[in-house]
Amino acid sequence: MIKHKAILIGAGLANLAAAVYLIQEGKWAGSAITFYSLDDHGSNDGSRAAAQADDYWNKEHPLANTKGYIARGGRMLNYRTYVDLMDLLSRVPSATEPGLTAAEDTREFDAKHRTFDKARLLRRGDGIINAGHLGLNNQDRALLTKLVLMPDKDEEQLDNVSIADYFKDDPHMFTTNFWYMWETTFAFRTQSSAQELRRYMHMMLYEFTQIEHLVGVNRTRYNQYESIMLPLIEYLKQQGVTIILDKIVTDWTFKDTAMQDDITVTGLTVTDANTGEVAQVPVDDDTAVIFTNGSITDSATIGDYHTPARENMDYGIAASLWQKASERFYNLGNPDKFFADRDASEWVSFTLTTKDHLLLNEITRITTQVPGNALNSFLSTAPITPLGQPDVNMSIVVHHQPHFTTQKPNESVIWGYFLYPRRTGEFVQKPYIEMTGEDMLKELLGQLAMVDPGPVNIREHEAAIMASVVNCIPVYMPYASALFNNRAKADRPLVIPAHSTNLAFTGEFAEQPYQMVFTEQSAVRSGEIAAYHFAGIPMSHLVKTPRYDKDIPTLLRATKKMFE
Amino acid sequence: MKKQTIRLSLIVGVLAGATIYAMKKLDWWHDDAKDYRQFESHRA
Repeated sequence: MIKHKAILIGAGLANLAAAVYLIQEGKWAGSAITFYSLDDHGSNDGSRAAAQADDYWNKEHPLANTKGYIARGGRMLNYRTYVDLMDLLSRVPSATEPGLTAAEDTREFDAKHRTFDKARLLRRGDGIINAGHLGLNNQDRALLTKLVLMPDKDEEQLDNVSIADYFKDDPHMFTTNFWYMWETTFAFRTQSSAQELRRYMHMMLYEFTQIEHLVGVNRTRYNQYESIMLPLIEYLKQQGVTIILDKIVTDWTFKDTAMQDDITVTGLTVTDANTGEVAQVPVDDDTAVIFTNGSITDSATIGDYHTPARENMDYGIAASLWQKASERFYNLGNPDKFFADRDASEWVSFTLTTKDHLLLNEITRITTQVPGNALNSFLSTAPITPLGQPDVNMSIVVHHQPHFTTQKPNESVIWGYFLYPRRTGEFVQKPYIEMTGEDMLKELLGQLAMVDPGPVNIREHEAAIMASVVNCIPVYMPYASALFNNRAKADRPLVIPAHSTNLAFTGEFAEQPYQMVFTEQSAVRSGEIAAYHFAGIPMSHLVKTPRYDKDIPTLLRATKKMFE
Repeated sequence: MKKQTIRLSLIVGVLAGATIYAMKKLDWWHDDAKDYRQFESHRA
């Protein structure tokens, strides 16, 4: 239904996008829009470590060392398919480059720093592997082809089918270079949804044809917060939008109706995250409520160089509110599928800050590529999976430097992650989840030493590298891959659920046609749909989605690639 | 010559028919815009 005011629960990318479209396309006044949110970065964070040490999830676990930087994750863009994200960024000024839009900013930077990954996979004894040889056999190809050829209308055939289920008669798939690259580029786990894997194969089919060099990857100039979130926040504030932080919406009031399935929000219970003070916020007949119903960084905690990140067992703030709505109405999905199965979704990352470029230069020498060329994954030689197969131990992203605007020229920032945090390190004999930042760095140095072509092994520089460390921040994220969790199509509420008069769902846990999650693209599009709905703009005005899965040349190239 | 033409026409026809059948099975001509009509707003 058409409205003229909105309350947005959550100030992540999806809802920031909704607000921009309400203002620019719906011609709403910024003053008609109010955000209630815990923080202003969501999963697109990037800051000095000291700033995040004070965040809600970390306040109870003070750190001794809050120096250096942290970005819990990062995103690789793809202009070809992230059309809604690029549309959004073209509508707001860059926060760091005067005179450019945020879209022009990233395009200008990316044009001068094109990605060409020369060391996507590395392994002891082989060094850099020829990842272009995907290693697929005929059974692998047949199953992948079946996924690609499955039309959208049939995707419910994959309800509650995990990737492990889908390939249960084809364990060979999990020993291919294709799988090692796919799982670590997108953070899929074998417990993840085959339905989502199918969507990825469809949307990223073009990139599949050049997966080993990540040629299609486009990058922002700086971290996600400064290059994507800050431009949106600054624009919205200038438009008069109200953003109230440190607030948690903890409950709803819904209108009682005869059919009990009309969804009309009439009030919100809002708790102050600092004081615990509770307030009731009424929602009148002319107000939309746009709710981001889950965050992959909810309940995430950080450690430091000498402290592992502690496990936080909280369900997840946004998901808790979602749960209350889903208990009231039958068509609002099933949050437990995403937030009650940590084994399927957890991983740990680290952000390493050094005071010189020694480690950076050593990685450049070993990988033969300058910083900013995407992702490197280190394969085990021993079997480490439940199927008794080798797998990726860890992956790193060596950013183009500087990755933060406040970073000094002598400093470097490197990010890495362990997709299966309960596995044990090869060099530090403890599970990754129990490792301090120092342990994780030692693990990285061990992996690099194994694949170092020489003549002087990186081990010779170990003492100097350790001495150069400002901090290494481990991060535990119980829900990092929750958006990939095995699901049925009905487990996520539609962006505009049936019978909803004023409530919309946005973000990675809302259902919309075709889009794949985790990419910022789907988050933006969900916000766009919600905005167009409440502003009365026809859906035919949505940014047009390219369909590479229906492009004959792409399909032919992908077929050829499967045989490489 | 006439037999060859007929044979060729039959082959092309069968291939075209099979292609059209396959593309229909794959929902190739699905109108993506239809999927978004469920989100259209209606005045209160």
